[in-house]
Amino acid sequence: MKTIRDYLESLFLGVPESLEKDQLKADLMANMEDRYEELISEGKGEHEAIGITITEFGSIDELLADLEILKDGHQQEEPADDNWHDAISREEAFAFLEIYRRSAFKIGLGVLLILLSVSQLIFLSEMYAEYVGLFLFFILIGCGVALFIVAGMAITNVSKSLDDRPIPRNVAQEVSKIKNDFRRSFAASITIGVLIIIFSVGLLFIGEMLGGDGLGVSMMFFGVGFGVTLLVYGGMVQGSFEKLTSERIFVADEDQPGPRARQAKNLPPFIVFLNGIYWPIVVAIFLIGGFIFHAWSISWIVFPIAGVLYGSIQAAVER
Amino acid sequence: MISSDGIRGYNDVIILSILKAGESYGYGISKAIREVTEGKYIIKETTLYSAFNRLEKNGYIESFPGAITHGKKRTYYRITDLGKTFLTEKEAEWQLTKAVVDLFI
Repeated sequence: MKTIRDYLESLFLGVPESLEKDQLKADLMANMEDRYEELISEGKGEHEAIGITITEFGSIDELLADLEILKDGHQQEEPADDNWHDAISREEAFAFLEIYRRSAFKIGLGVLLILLSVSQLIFLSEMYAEYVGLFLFFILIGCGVALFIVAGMAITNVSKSLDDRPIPRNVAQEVSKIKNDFRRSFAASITIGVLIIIFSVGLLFIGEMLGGDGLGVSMMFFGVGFGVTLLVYGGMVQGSFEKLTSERIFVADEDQPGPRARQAKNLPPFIVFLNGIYWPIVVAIFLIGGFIFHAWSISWIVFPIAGVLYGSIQAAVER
Repeated sequence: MISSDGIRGYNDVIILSILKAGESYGYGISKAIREVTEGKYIIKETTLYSAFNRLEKNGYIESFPGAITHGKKRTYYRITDLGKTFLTEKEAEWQLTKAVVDLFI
């Protein structure tokens, strides 16, 4: 039996690994074993049985040509089973990226407006013009929230239309290329954003020296606004690439992956649970720190800490 | 023993007619051929699988993973409606061929 197995193995040497190859090899081996056992049960000697089995096997070249064709065919197109009838097209993928990019810009701008609203309120209060400040505060907050809603709805809609649909390999490859081109811009936006935020903390002290606490905090919020905007924009655009390249099935909402995505990914329930409650808790800590302990100037630090922590928990669980 | 060159064109039809009687797997089919022909024709295993690939690509048969027998998980094959139509055509063609060849040999 070992002779037959070795013989078969030797015939398949140098054939690239593939599911088709493994299946074919297993089928051929099973048939040869059956034939061998039958010959033995007919009273043939071991050597004779092996000889006959191998003679009746034929020429592997007949099959390898088919296997090559089979393999090439699979590289060009996805299997045509039911799962792929609604695969995401190239156009849909690019439309998604474009809508996501525009929405990322709007959300970044919204964050900037909201932080500027706080900044100018504090500044104008220092200048004894708090009514103007309050007026502008509500207008800026209103514009910021409106931007959030518009962008959020655009993202929700486009994501829903793609939810739980498979991402063909060629589409993922094209997106990967764009993602690669974007890599340096992403790194730059994160680096510059972080530098601006660090620099803003410096502004806090400079402002305090120049014109008291109020001016310092105001200047800090002003600077942080621009830094966070860059982080949000870069992070979201990068995230839109990840959504199309990291999984084979599109997931609109990480908290509620569709049935096919769940099957493909087999998410640990712990991570699903964590995704659901983690960020709300972080926001709650930020708000409690600000409102109850009046620690607005420092409580924002929970966000970068929470971000790093989240990454390490996820890495630990997924391993 | 028949030469494999002489019968080459008929392998597909032989396999289809065996599958028409019921779904089967590689060894089952080669054994059926050997037994029906009383050992006059033994199909090479590679010839058989090459035919499977061709027939499946043309849509005449379909493969599916069968139940595990004797600890081995085998690929089974069944004939499709398209395959049955093709087989009927080929049977008629064979009757004609046989009649014509018989006139000379």
